[in-house]
Amino acid sequence: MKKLKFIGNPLLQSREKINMSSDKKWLTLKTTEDNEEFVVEESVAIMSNVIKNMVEDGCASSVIPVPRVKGNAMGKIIEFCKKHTEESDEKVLKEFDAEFLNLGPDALYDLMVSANFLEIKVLLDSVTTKVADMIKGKSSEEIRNILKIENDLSAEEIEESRRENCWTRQE
Amino acid sequence: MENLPVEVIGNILSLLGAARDVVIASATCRKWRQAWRDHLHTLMFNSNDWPVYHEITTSRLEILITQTIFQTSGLQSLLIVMDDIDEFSAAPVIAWLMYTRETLRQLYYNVRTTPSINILEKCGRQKLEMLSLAHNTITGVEPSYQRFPCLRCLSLSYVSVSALDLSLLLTACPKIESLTLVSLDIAMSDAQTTMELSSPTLKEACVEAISLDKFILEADCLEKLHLKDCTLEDFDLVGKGTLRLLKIDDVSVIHLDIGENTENLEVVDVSNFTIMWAKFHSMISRSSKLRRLRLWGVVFDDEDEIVDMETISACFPLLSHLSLSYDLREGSLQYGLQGSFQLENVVVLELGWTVINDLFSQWVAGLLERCPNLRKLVIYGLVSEAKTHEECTMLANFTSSIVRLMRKYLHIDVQFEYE
Repeated sequence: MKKLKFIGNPLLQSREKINMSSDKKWLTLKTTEDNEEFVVEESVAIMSNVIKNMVEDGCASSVIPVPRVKGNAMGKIIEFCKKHTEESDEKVLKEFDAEFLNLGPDALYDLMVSANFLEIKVLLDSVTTKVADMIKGKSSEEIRNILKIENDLSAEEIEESRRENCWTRQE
Repeated sequence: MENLPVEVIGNILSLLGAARDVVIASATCRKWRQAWRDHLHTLMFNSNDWPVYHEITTSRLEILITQTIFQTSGLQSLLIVMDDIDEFSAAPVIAWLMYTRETLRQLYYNVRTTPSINILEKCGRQKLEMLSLAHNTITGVEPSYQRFPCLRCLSLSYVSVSALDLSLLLTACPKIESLTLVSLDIAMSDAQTTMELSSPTLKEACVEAISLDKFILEADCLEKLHLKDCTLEDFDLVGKGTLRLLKIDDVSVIHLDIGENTENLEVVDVSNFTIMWAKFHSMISRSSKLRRLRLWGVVFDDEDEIVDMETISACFPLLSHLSLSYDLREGSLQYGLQGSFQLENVVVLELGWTVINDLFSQWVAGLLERCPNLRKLVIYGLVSEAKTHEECTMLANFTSSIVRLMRKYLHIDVQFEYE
């Protein structure tokens, strides 16, 4: 069964429906992996360069299919884009981002992959900055633990790395 | 993790910036190693990043920087900021610059090289957008073949350069927007030290710790001008009245001319300067868009001159931030606050004293009366270490009078800053 999601206050749903026909333009984004639909304002959706190009080229029909991005990731992305279109105060946005990005590595990866695919620069920059901050000053092993990275380097590669970059281990 | 594109990992590594962090992160797995080799665009060696940099010998440092840079490809930003290294040998520096020539967009380099090399000749020029050079020499600038078509920001600190070469360098940068000159050693051929710089695209100029007889800056688009700690006889700004911000700090200049057209000035910040009020006033009186005025630690050339508040309120109706700190004399209080004017739009008032006296609290009271929409008051004071009994009494009286005064203005946020 199709789930139609309105992003915003559910109590305002009926009012939003009435306003649908007024000057604000709305788009429906459908994640093709799990068939979830999201109704968003065009001004929010075009934070994605990919969607922006589709709209400008006139090939955006009533429903835009979005491959590769799962429903829950899409929901979070829309929440981010909505906040960044509505709010102009730097301080408020910074606080929002810090709270929003308080996620585990898997969720952060999903966000990065999706933001990269949909070409949402602001989101991608925020997440990559967050990840960089998480690993600054840490050892390789600590980084593997924090970001759940599996060490797939061969013995030769590890040795080569060690020799070439031994200066980094000087204490 | 598997789906994360290697370019995005390159971005993460570039955000880490510090070379040691980048190398350590690249040793986590194959994909991150690949990102480090092929997709890193920013690499930084900053002596402030890692205390061990101070303990490594210069030649060891040259080796590790060379080995690290040569493991990357396509580097766009290279920052080498080593504060306590006297000099690098020329060969590795030339190698770093030549290796990154094709892709370099940003270069920060602050170490002398021996023998001295012409960095401008060796570094990438085609894509360079930002160049910050320190402790080096610039010679033999040839704009005909040495052009910097994308350079927007140029910063030169503790650099030896002739006035002519600097002027030629600017002409070789057709898109330059920001110029910062700090403590230049300007070689002159004549007895009179004159520098003439010209750029049709320059928007920001910051000149610090420079000594010249004559300095002419021709910049039709200049919006921000900052002069700090300079000794000049003559300073002339030739432009089309685009200046929005003027900041003068600890400058000694006999003749200052920023042009007739000052209509677009929004911020004027003058500190530690000797003002001839009449001249200064005529310089900025047409700046009706002025929003911020700061006169801090200024001395008036003519002892009888004072800052006439009524004129300020008449000339600058949009003024929102007013900062004043200068020696108050009885006359300045009475005459300066004469008239029934109001500073309607001033929301922030900063007042300071260098020597505290009775007049100061009267002055604060007088100004508060004139600022009906004030929201914030900051009082800056210098408190000497050895406080005489008299000074302590003065400070105490001042505190009491401010407390009494602010009871009338409960909506205003008061802050004190004592040094």
